[in-house]
Amino acid sequence: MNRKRQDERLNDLYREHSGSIFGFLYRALRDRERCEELTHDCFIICRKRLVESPPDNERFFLYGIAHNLYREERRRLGRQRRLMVEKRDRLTGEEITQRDQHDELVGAQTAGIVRNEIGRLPDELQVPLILREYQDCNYEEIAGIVGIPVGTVRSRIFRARKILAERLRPLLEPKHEVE
Amino acid sequence: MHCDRYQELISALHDGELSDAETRELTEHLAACPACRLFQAELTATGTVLQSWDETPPALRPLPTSPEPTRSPLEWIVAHLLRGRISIPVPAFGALLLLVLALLYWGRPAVEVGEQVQFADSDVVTQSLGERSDLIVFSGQFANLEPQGHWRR
Ligand SMILES: [Zn+2]
Repeated sequence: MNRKRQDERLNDLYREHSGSIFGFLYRALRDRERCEELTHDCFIICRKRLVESPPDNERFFLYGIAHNLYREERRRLGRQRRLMVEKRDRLTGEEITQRDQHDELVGAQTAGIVRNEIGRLPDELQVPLILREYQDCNYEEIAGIVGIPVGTVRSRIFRARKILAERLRPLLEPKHEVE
Repeated sequence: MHCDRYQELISALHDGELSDAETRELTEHLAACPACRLFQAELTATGTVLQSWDETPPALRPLPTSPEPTRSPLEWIVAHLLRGRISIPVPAFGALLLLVLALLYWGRPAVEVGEQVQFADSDVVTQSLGERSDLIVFSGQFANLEPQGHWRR
């Protein structure tokens, strides 16, 4: 593939998939500016690999690169994040989270609550759920992107949903509010 | 109760990821288990709530174009020759080779540094003048002569 054709192909992929790659990164990392950069990086890495070994399924291929970028970013942020969580727990404990949730409920910020609750999920449950729920990936694709067996994808998505169903219960229709 | 397993099946059914056999098994269980029917309803409602988190992607920033390959003209020629994109006909190649050899011959100084030459009926040894290796100066009694370039034997 010559340079000009390669650039054209990359721009097509960028137009077609950058929105969903950004969506995945943003939902998993929740830092808009940083995720814009990472989305850009994802396609620049893709260009290099397009030359070396053109993939069969480009969308899946891009998610694989994005997931690696996500993991690197998580590692980079790891220490920072741990310090923040420690500080929060020391100052306020679990109660403040509930109070925040209540404030947001009052303000009908459903999307904000969903965002927070997904953010509170353990990392290993968060990514498969995001890929399934928002990025329209099937179990097999998720297994390939994350590097786990399909059966594990199924159980992680289930566990994530079970936690969310409990935590989001106040937002569900009254008929589903059961004790 | 073994409802946990059925609840995982409910979640997979929601994603269209159940085999026919598993779907039949789940349907039978749901008909008999109110708790799992309730869980199914709750999961569907949770799915709807999750969809309220809608993110608008940012406007696209243009991607930079591929960097120009940083190659010298010689590298370019060699790379293209190796890929067989340039073929030089034999007579042209011969002519080119002759030209290169001719340039090498006439560009060479007539005497080498350190060579013994005859000058004004005396044997002298040539030596280089500093950085200008193409200039040759004489030692001994001819040391004050002007440096000469192409000195013929
Ligand atoms: Zn049951």
